Amino acid sequence: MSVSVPFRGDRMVRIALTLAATAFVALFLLLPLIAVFVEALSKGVAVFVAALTEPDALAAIKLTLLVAGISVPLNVIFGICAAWAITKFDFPGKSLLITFIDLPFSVSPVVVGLVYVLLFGAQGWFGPWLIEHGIRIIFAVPGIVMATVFVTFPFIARELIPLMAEQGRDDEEAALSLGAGGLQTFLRVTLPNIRWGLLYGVLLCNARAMGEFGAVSVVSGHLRGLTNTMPLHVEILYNEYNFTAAFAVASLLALLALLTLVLKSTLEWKFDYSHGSVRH
Amino acid sequence: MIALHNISKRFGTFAALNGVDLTVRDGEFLALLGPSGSGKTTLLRIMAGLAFPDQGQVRFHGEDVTALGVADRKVGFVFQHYALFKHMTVLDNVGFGLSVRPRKERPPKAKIRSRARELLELVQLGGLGDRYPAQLSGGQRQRVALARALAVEPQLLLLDEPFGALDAKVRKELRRWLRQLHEQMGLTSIFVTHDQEEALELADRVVVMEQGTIEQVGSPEEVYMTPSSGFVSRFVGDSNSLPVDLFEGSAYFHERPIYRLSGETGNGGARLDFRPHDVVLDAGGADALPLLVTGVYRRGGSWRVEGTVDGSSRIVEVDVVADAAPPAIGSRLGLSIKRARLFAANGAPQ
Amino acid sequence: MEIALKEPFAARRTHAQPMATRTRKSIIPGFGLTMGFTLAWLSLIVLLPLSALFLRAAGLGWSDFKAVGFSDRAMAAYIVSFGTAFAAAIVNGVFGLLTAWVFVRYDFPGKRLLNAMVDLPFALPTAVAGIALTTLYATNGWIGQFLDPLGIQVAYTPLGITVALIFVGLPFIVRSVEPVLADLSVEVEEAALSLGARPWQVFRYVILPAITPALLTGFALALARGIGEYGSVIFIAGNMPYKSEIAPLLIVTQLEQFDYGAATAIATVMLLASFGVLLLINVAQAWSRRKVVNS
Repeated sequence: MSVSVPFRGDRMVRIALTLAATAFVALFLLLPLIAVFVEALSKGVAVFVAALTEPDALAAIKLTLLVAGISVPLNVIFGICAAWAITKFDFPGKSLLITFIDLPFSVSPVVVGLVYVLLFGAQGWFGPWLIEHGIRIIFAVPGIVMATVFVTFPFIARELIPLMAEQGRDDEEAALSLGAGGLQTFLRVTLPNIRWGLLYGVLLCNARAMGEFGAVSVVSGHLRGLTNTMPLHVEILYNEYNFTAAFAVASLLALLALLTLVLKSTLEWKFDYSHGSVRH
Repeated sequence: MIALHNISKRFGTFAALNGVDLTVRDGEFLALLGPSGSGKTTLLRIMAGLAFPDQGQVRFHGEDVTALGVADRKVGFVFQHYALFKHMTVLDNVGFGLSVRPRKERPPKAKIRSRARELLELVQLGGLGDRYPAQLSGGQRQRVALARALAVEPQLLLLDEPFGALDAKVRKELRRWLRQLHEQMGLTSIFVTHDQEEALELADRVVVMEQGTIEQVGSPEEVYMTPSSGFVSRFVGDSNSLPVDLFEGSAYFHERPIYRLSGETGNGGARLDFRPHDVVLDAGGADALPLLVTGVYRRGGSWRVEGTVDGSSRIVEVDVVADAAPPAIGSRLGLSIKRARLFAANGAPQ
Repeated sequence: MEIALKEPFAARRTHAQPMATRTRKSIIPGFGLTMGFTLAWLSLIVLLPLSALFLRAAGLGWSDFKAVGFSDRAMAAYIVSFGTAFAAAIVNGVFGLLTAWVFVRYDFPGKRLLNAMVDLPFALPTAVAGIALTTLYATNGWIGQFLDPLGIQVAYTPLGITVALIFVGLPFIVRSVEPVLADLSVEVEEAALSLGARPWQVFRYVILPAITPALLTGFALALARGIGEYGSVIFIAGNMPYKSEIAPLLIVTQLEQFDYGAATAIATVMLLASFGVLLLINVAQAWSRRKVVNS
């Protein structure tokens, strides 16, 4: 009776809705996560460790780190450039450009894989030329990197554009009027302003880069120990009915996801930074 | 008649209202005036049924409505930021209250629209019915909010800082217009404001509030001329306030008698409050207080003179009719107080 | 209108710069460099590969395209993909709105944890989600063992695909609706109440219309993601042609059989569908912007 606004006040409604939402999230999100760890450890720690330390698993881990290590920095560079051009200047066609940057969000990962096969595969446009010069892109690391860059393409730009638009141009114009150069202005004025947003984008970009499955699956060729990333390794193990090993590798990816969530939440709470985009 | 009896309300440890009693007469235009945090908005919300007192009673025409929510009290409430429904046209906003009535009491659609149009005419916005709130100016939004509140034919109109979000010029026009509208309709209306000028100009009676209690209730004239406390004296209108010592019927400032008191007063410390216009400058009498002029500016038909008194850093404001040349900055004048009120050093009436 | 002109002009400058305005000389350097790199990289990674797909599809000719792109099996796959994505987006629309509502309006122990949890699908690799859900919903799984006696088969049926897509799509709805719901002013609800509206009327006529654009945006994002989703689905789908085979899987199958034409045609249909959804999002956003502008 102390508050009059509807739904805020009625205790029973409040409890019922809270329980329903909690139950839904627990059932659909939390339970699968728990299942991963339970299954991974179901045959004991020894089996778990063995599954992670066999050569193919190690190769998959290495490849995943390598792919993320290449594609995330590329997206950082692109994201900063795109956000700088879009927020610091006025030009016609700006909204079209933003739409194009968003495009990869709405393309199926499998289609992404396919378009690279059509371009660089043996039957593709550049296929014959590539074979002639002994360059492998499809069924090799370059193809995996390219597919990963495509699917993670908008992450950082999408995080930075609203942030930098909100901050305006006053700070940069002030720095320039005080005699700073372009690069100095960026490093000493812009970058400190956007670092948490950038970190946020990097976190989400990295999670997707390490976890991408569909696009990478099409271009990788599933060569064990050579072009298998961790998610692909999970698939192979699972399809061989080696469930415990599959979940062991999966649990490593789930840990990465948890770490991402913890860091992300920390950023949100500590710096009161709320993300500008939901299109992940 | 609206009657509030012994209303108290706490938010956590903060006492927003402390045993407030108030009676509102039918048809009157009442202002709740006070600084922020004085409890005026909380009191308004309790009258509306948007908040509920921890203790006390609210009666509308003798009926106890304390437990009734806003939807059942038949009050019109105009929010500080208007709270218009952004996704509805102006006409739909105004007709909303009629369109959400239970089916049996709901007028037909055509009737709701024609009633909404009438109200828009009343607030001088006829023809803007098809616009969205975002397409209106602040003053226009305010009037839509008013028309919307009036559409449900409330027995009481409540307005929370109705002019707070408007710029000075629009505010003044709207004030005059609202006063006229009230006279036309005779609807019991209560508005909250922190602007004493607004309260004095508009209201039949002013309720001055401070720290969750009512300091004074009275006509604008009463509140201005005979403030019941130092707080009211200083909050309503400009007022100078000097710490004085009382001795044998005179008030002393820095051991200089500056004001002759009428009636019985004790001896001891007190505060002497006087308005800038209740002063004569230049007199060389025994009671005159030396004033060093530090600033002069024009305020309409008079000069507002600022100065420090008797070597202290205390600033006093004085109004001088602007017929003659203003006193020069740096000049020393004598100041005699023609009318003043005495309050205890802690602000209570004395 | 004469009053409208007096609205403070300075207030408008603090808002985000309007999207497309006339080219103005800026003193900030680096336009050529950053714009050049942006366009080059965008073209290389995104636009060129996508246009390759369209060119290849155009090369098929309409009758061939129709034969492989709209074959019975492809049509069945579209129906499964779109149907399950739509069903999942509906479920998420309801529960995502509920979850966002609870986050914005109520305080309860564990709220922060739950809130962080909602982003799990953004962070958890889809393949991991896929095998976990399959394990849970298989007939001997944690959840499946209770559903099996009731005659409900989840794993290896379209129902299983829907479950996977609910997992993937939930955060889109929650994160779209949450900020809009939080921005709704209490005053507006109080205003509706003071005009005599009952709580359900406040929800129906005041709150719901205000969050509908955001809800639609979230719905469209979840739908687009669901249509194209692959990793979380293939494990639980069973992948029976005509029954539980999704369109992305059919592309992979055709590719493995080196039928590039069929793969291209199906991919083109899906890509166009994605663009349609993207258009829907933009329309929804433009709609919401139109009414809320300036206020």
